[in-house]
Amino acid sequence: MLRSAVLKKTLLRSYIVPSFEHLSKDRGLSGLFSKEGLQSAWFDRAEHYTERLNSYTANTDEKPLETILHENANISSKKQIFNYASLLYNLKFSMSSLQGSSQPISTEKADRSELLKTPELTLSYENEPLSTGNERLHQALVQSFGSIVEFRSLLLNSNSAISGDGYTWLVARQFKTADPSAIKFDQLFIVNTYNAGSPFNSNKAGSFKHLEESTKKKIDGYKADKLETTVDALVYSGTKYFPLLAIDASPKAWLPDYGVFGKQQYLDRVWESIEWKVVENRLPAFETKAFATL
Amino acid sequence: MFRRGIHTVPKLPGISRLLDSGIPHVMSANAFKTCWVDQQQYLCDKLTLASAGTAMESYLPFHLVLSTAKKSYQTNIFNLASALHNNHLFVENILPMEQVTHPSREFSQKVEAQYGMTWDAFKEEMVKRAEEDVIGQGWLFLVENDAKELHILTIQNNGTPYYFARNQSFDLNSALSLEEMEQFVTMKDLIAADADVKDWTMPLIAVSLWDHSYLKDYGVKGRSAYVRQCLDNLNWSTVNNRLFSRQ
Amino acid sequence: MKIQQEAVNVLERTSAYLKSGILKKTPAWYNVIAKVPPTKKFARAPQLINPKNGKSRTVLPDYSNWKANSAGLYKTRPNHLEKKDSASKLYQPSKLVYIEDKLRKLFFQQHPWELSRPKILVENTLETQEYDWSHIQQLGKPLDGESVVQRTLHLLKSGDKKELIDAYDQARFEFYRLRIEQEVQDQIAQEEAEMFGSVFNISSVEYGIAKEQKVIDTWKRKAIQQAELMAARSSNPSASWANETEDAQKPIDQDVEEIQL
Repeated sequence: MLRSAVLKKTLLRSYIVPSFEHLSKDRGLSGLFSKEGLQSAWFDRAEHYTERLNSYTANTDEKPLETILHENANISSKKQIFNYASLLYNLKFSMSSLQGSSQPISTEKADRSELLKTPELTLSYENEPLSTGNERLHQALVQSFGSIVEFRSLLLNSNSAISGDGYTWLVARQFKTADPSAIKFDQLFIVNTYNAGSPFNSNKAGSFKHLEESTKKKIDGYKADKLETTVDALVYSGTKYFPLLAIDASPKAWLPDYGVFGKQQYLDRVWESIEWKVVENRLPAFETKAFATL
Repeated sequence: MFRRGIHTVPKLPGISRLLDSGIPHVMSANAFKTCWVDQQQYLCDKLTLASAGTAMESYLPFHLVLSTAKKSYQTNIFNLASALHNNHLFVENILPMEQVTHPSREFSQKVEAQYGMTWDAFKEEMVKRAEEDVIGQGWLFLVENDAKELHILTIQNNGTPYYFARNQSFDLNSALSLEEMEQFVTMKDLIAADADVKDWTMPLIAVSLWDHSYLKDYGVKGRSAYVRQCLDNLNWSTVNNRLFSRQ
Repeated sequence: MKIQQEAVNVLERTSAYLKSGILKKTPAWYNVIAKVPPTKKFARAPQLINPKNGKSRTVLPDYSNWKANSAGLYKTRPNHLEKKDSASKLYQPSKLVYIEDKLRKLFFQQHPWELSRPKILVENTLETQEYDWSHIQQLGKPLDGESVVQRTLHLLKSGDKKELIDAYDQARFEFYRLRIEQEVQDQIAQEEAEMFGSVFNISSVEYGIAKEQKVIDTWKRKAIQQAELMAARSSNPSASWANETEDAQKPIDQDVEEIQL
């Protein structure tokens, strides 16, 4: 009796805690996380999010996280499923491109003086896409942001400005063309998401306004601005963004190793730890003509 | 040497004991250092950097919260001031006392009259709300509004309990329910109708849900356990004083 | 003109009045003036040393070693102009020239919008002395043009940079990086707050647009009326003459309405 109950439970489909070959519980990620830091930044959170996701999706089929995100983005009753699926996806994504670096982690945590530190004026940094041989990515970044320095400061400043939880993403914009089989990308962007926000939000376009309007209609004889709604639908519905790189802003990632004053140091280390090859492999074939028209 | 317009960390009673042994049952000495000494210093310095040399430099954090709450372009200063103020409220109401303190009769009666449950049962309700509403950083408050009713208020990131349009109780990053949207639209309409609309809500109990206060002792999964510990070990002489009384 | 000595004796006179009992109450300024008494030295002293270069003004150049000029003539003593100038300059207050002023002028010429940032105008000159300019950001002082100027001077003094222009460029670029950071921070903070359900009051731009739209709406209504009137006149010329006296009152009302907006 007991045995069958156990058996039945194991037969239920559920999400398993994700793992990466380059991350191990025995050691940290060299140049970025100590053993304890990695435990908090990755293992504990991956486990926690997976447990919570399983508790909310009990007895349902296991679908890929992307599908969950897409299906539940606008359903408030499935908010928690969406939240934990999205958190898990974002965390996995951000960790997938971090390979560590040869720099040793400083044992002293930053103090007050870190806030007054004068920025260095260097124009070239360690571990740039070009120096690791990722020329295609380098080209795309330079075309979209002007230069690697501009890209770096926008990326890291955007992340350091997040006060709570969130991720900074490097995304590629896809345009719907007349020919559905041809996928065209024209530019790279930097986007922030907060808490469980997801970069796959193309199907969320207009949903907030829609909900707002239906609420207002209930309250009084409210008339929607049709022109505005139509323009929104036309402009945003066909556009999709594909993530290439994510950086975690949560204190769970940087607090144990870098301390309260150390977020900037953490971000500098993240830059040195990025495996640009992974990012480049995600980079779709670019429609170079699209650049000329912009 | 005294310098104009610099925010400094307030002095807590018995700070040396707190630095040595932390807050019994709630925080270790190490966690207390992160949560109060370092974090408060960080916020003070950031706020000084952001507001020095402007018309706001001589304001107290509380005044900064109220004066920047309605201006979108001053959100950065609002965030820092609100975090400073909330963190102070929080540490104040978990400071250890010599003798055991209890909720005042007024307080217990109020909870029972309004919610039909004891304070112990109500505590569980608060823990649950924190767990469900705030998945990132934030605050858990018990507030008393202008009608002297008690309400649980969950706040995302650096919102403030003092002004309803900046409570930051909604998380628009995932889907909103129709009821939440109704509240949101009502709030918008209120502000559109009267830009100077007032909110007289006062916080009674504040619990920090920021990683700085629990990550070290309780780990990623232990936030609810930490919230429960905070609510079990409140400094009731502070909280009872915050409650409105006619005397 | 007789030198007025009366005003500067105010302290002595007041003391005498107080002593003799003519004045009962000590004036509020009394202690301050006693501590910092007004100067009574009205005769200008000659400045024998030029503060600009630290050289004596009383010594005329020595011409004994001068070479012959193009005409093959020698100069052996100062001419009357040189003598006169050096004598009159002894009593002239010398010009105050600071390198900071040149840098300030240059910075604000290059960045005119930096002047539009609000600034509190109190006790700011002496204050800069107590800051440590080995870093450009200071607790208690906003990041602005003055930071760039002071940081430039620090870089020169500490020997980090040899040339003024190099030091200025370094300070300027540090300033740019911090400004970029600040601007991103302000934008993201606002975006983040909105994503967590903050509602702000309308901005001044939105307020302006609403006001403008009201005027445009009134104008549009008037324009349509006018167009209809013209159409009516052209289709029935005789009727328009009859209506004109009745319509005369209306446009005045509308004008008033427009002004009130």
